[in-house]
Amino acid sequence: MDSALIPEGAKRCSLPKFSIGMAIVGAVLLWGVWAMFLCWFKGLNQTNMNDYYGFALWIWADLAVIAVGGGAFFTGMLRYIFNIKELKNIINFAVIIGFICYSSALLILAIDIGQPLRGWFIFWHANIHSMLTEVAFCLSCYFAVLTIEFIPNILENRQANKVPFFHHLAHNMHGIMVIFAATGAFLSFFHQGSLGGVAGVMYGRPFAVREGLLIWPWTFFLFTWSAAAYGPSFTLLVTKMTEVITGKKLVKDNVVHLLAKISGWMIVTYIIAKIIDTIYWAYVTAPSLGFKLSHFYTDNSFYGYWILITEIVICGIVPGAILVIKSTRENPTLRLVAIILGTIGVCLNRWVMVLQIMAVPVMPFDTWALYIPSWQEVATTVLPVAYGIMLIALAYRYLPVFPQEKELNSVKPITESE
Amino acid sequence: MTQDNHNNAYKFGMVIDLDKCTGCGSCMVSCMSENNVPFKEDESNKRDSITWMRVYKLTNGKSFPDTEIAYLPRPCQHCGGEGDHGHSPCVSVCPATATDYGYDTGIVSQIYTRCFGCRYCMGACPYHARYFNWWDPKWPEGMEKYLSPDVSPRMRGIVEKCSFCYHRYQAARDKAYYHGDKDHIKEEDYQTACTTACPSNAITFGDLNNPAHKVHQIVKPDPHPDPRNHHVVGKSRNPKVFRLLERLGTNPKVYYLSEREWVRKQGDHYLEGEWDKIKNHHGTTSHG
Amino acid sequence: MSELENKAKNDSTISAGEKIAQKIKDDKGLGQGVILFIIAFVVCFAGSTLLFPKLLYSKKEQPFNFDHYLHVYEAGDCEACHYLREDGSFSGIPKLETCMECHVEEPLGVTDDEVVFVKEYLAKDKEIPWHVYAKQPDCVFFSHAGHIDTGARMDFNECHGPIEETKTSRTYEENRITGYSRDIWGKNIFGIKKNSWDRMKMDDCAKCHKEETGHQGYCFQCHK
Repeated sequence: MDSALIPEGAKRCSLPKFSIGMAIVGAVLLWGVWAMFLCWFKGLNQTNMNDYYGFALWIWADLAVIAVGGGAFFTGMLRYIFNIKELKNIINFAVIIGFICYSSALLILAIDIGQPLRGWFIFWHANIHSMLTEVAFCLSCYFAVLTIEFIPNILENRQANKVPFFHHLAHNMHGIMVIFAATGAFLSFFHQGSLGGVAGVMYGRPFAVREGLLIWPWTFFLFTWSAAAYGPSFTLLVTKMTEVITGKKLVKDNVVHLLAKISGWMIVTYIIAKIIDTIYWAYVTAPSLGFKLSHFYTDNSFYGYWILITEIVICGIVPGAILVIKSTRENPTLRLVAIILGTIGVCLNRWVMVLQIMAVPVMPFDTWALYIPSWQEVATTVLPVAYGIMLIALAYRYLPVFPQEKELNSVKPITESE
Repeated sequence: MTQDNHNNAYKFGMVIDLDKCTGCGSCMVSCMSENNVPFKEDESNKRDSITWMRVYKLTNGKSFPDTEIAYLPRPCQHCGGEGDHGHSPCVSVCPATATDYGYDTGIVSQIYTRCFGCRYCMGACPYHARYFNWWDPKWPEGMEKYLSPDVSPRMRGIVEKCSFCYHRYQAARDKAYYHGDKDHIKEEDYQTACTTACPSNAITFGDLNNPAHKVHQIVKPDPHPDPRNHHVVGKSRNPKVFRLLERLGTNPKVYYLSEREWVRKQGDHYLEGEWDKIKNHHGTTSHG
Repeated sequence: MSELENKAKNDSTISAGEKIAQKIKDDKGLGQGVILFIIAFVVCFAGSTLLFPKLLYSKKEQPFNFDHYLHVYEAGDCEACHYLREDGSFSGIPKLETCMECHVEEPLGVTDDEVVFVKEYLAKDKEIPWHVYAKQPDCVFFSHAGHIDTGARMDFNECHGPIEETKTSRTYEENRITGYSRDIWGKNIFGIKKNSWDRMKMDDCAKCHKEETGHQGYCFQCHK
């Protein structure tokens, strides 16, 4: 029925089947939208946040999607600035994932603030000393850049591309994409960093505070680094998931191996920096304020040393090692394990840098504060996931996202696994 | 007005005698009614109800018969920030300039109509002095008429905190203008609601920069940075006086006084052995 | 199962694309289009400039006309009614009690407004619900003591305009969204001011403070 819209030479499931799938995900999306409107109209009392947990699940989700969305800027930078040709076969998809992540992040922020109608104050009455101001500016600008990067791919839809204007526009935009990739990389270095800075500058919170370089705490650099390291892993993970769901090979192994290798080396270098940072903080920064490491990891029912070990060893050193060593990297199962662990690792890091900061008592006579999100918070956090699945499904169905798809699937398989 | 916290501007502060405090809660009540603080029908969840002034209970952790308790009232600490330069933990992080540091008074403001409720300041404040309006305020029938016209009531979705009853400073300044001496606000003309309400006179409020004020005489603030930690300025030269989490370098303007060592020790974190080394060290000795 | 791609050839859309391409090349209608656009723009701009203030502000009449010119003449000066109290606070708009210092028992003068005043308020001992043109939003603290003779020695005209010359009370306009008096934003919908009293926004206060004291002031200087 919609075959005229489907990319030439590509095979897609039937429209009814596609519609059923979309309807199921759409129902989840509507659930999230319902919760979103509840939060907007009834206020943040719909959440389980409280005065101890001013930052909670949403801010974690926000930081996490931005971290994993880092694949877009880093892959873009490698593709367009360092001119690594192979990556052109995955750049479209990296951009779409980035677009989803960043639009979700902006939406979450719009739900998270207590007076959404005053959201523009952050631009109009900006306090230039606040890390959050930098986040807001860079995030919005980078989202605009991602939109520009996404547009040529949309215009390459079979019908849109028949319009000469769109055809030429898409072509010309590809030509100047290096400028946007550079802009995007520049902006990303800043907002990924300032998101890390959000925690690092809180000198009233010994769990969060870090020394640094000039006005930037070390978390500033660690966040940028980790996003560049784990972002490509997430891009690979979503590519793998798309391949499994569609039952097709979409990206050639050499491209996957290359990106995995880059991600691996970034993870290894990042985790070394992270370990140094953690040791310095545990043995110098915190003790200078009177805190022992055990203060942050004991005397409560949830946050133990396990979280530190999981983040750094299981979800840092392990995936880094797997992706760096050639034989393990090229083993599909091990590679999958590594990119899953990596994605968990960066999300866990963001969790620690948001939720655990709030949980740790600072005043000597204060107590640990734990928190369980309300269904409205969960629903609004699931909302971007559902939206992401829908957008990826639509993009995959109607846009030539994977340049190698046709070549890889030219020999018609006898049966389709769908 | 320059951005200098050490000139002859006011630097309002408070010292609370924890040995006099009985934990009666008068300060909390007077604060709420003075400042139009909203409340809920069920106030049992202390983590989402608003108390600009909150009284904490401290114990020495010993079992009967050696148990001792103390109460610690905690208003906003009106931090001067690292080095006392006015970069309070909350002020420096607010993205919309909804809170600022008054270099003329040392008071940290909060502007309700500017705040858009991102709650970053709450995360940055180690004292939990900042509160979010999770609900729109609901006053019982007729109570609206009893709200103070000098304090603007808040709306849902924004952050509020203790202002050192700033409206009383504004009134005192008006009075000083009328009497032709605008630069000298009398000690008795500007006192916070909690100070005047405390039945045991545990709270002393005034200008920390003015040697004639009682608060200055009790605290004897050291104008020089602590040689051990240059972020800390204004440390008390009275060995019985301490500040909360002084080592973080937030430089609060709320001081606490106690004869009891275990109470003073609960003001901050100390590694093993540290307390014994520094418990008797207060301020730079050359000015002691 | 996937649809086969072979069906996808669609001639009609191709020709549609070509038609659009032709249209772009054919620019005969362009001049008319530009003129039409300009006309539409002017109409919308003028229409909204005239209509928007009417939509934004509701009009309210004062309970009755107040003749400032006459009262200044009779009472001698402004301070007879608007004065600082001994604690430095400002009396603002006088209460009925102040009016009754002169308006005792029988009407003074023969105007219709005097009749309304005596019948509706004086006789019933009811305060007059004036709409206050200069009323600032609730979050604003303003110190008269700091600005008039006791402080900065400003003339009241600087903020209130030549109010002592008015013989009638103008219509009060209230912003329907914020509930603020129109005098805050100013009569000019674009926020342009010619006189110092045309507008009373925070920026106006800050500008003067910056000029006069060298600093625009900290938030709590004017907020409560």
